[in-house]
Amino acid sequence: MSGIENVSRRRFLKGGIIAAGALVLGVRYYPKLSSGDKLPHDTNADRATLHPSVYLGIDPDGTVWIVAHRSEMGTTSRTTLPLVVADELDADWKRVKIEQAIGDQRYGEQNTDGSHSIRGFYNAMREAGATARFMMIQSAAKQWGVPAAECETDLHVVVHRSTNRRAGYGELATAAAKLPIPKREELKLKPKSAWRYIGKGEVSYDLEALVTGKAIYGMDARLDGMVYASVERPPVLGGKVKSYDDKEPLKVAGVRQIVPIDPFHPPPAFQPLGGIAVIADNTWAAFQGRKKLNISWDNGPNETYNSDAYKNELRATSHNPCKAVRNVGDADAVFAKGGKVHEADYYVPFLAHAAMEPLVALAEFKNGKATLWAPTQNPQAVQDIVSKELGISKEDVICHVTLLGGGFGRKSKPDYVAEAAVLSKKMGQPVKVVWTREDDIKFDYCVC
Amino acid sequence: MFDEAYPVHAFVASNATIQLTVNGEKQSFSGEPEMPLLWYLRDILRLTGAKFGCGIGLCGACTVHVDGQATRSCVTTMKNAAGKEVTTVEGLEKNGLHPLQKAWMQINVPQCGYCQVGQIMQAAALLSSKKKPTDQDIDEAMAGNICRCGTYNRIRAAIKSAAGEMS
Repeated sequence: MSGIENVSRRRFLKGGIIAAGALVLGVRYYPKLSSGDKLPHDTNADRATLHPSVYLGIDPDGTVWIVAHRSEMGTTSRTTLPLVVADELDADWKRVKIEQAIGDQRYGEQNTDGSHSIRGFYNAMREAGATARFMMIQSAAKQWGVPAAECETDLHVVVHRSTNRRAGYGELATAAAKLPIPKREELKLKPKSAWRYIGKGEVSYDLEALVTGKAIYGMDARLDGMVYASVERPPVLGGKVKSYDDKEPLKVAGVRQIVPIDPFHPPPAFQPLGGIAVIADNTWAAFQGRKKLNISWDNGPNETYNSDAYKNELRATSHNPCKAVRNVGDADAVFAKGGKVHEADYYVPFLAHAAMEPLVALAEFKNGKATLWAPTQNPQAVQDIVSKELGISKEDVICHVTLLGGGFGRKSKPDYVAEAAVLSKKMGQPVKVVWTREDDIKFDYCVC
Repeated sequence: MFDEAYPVHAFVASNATIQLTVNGEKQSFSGEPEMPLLWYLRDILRLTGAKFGCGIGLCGACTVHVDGQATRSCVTTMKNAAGKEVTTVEGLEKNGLHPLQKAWMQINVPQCGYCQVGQIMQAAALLSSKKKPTDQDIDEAMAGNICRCGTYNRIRAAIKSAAGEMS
């Protein structure tokens, strides 16, 4: 898997769209699995008869598997990117099945944050589709003994017009799989006039599931034998538990166990903040048990943090001379001409992202591996933090991405998923950590 | 209904058994009578259509019908649901899709979708009491259902469209 690079948001911004796009395009092909090889969670696309790209597979029954590797939080990128693949492939959208990718760097960057899913992956998706279409045409041409240049595609079929021959993608898949994967330079992308789906207003792949309540968000994830957790976290960043009541919470019906979570090692980054978890048979019992913890806190070094002082500091700093990053025209000359000058300071407090779905994650630590189900914008960041927290390799962290009930950037931070992973390891069983709305507001990361 | 994930001992036997009907099926619950209906539906009956959003009846994501009225299940205790008929989105329409669900799809209402089931349940209760709601009726009925994606205009259009289909 060499040559695959994870594009961090910082590098992405620094390098600009084009550089990021170039890196992303490095992720084109993944060798088809030989028998016996097994990835932690290979997809149906991986297992499909024709598998010319990590994002795509085609089976002899004509099913086209397309992998959505970006998170879905309402912008329909889970639909739109596969739709681009399908368009370039000339596939019948009704025969496309979308699979949601786990966190895996073979897909390239997966941090669905910063509104760049389409910009970053549009070309990669077109190439994936064009690659399969190229192989379908080659396969049909070979079978018919005609030049490939005389063949074209129509909806899910290759056509040789002069002899009126047609072959479906399904029936061509096995022979196509034996052909070499074409080089990028050999690919011919469709002209815009031939687009079937792009820009035509196709609706979300998940639309019916969304209106019938069948869609599975992180909040809806469930495993047999799982318990529910609610966590009382330090009210001040860096605070530690001095003492707590470990008896009263257990008197709440349904509460099973009280489990302390270690404080983070500074700097906090996206580590769990620590505190005390109440483990219960249902979410509400966990919430109720938590109210009985009666924790006494050592607030730590940030105890004296003062919001007003910080606000004043920000305001003062904003009046200091600063470095101009862009100059257009001569503002001083315009001001010198006179007229009315309006001066004002603008201030907003810390703002919470407040997605409709509060933070939530389900984790199962078993046999040295962590399997997670989370409404995350950034499953590879989940792999990073969970591997560190549990002392296991990244490959042993399987992060399934559910639908997200909103994200807005908060869910690109993996702290809440790490919390579930840590608790599952301590409990030896699957744990679902449910944040209350109050937790979600109180323990947000600042939006700047 | 119960399996190893939900041992019966989790619900203290000393509480009187609460009887209720959920989506036409009789259910009995012998757990904590103060437990909100939402968590009974989600964690015990595993009907996850109704969503947890705020827990204090302010966002509407948990809306279900209790005796036909749109009700915030996160602040309705099991005690208060005793003897009642509860309908969730899973039981909204026995055959296929409810006209509101069809309209929601036709107008492509949802974005993230998390609030939409609550919106649909709220709208369904409105249409069962007012066949031809005015814009004002719709705005009043839907005012307590928050959509963080801001799909309000499409929600209103879908309700009107469904009202037209149903009349």
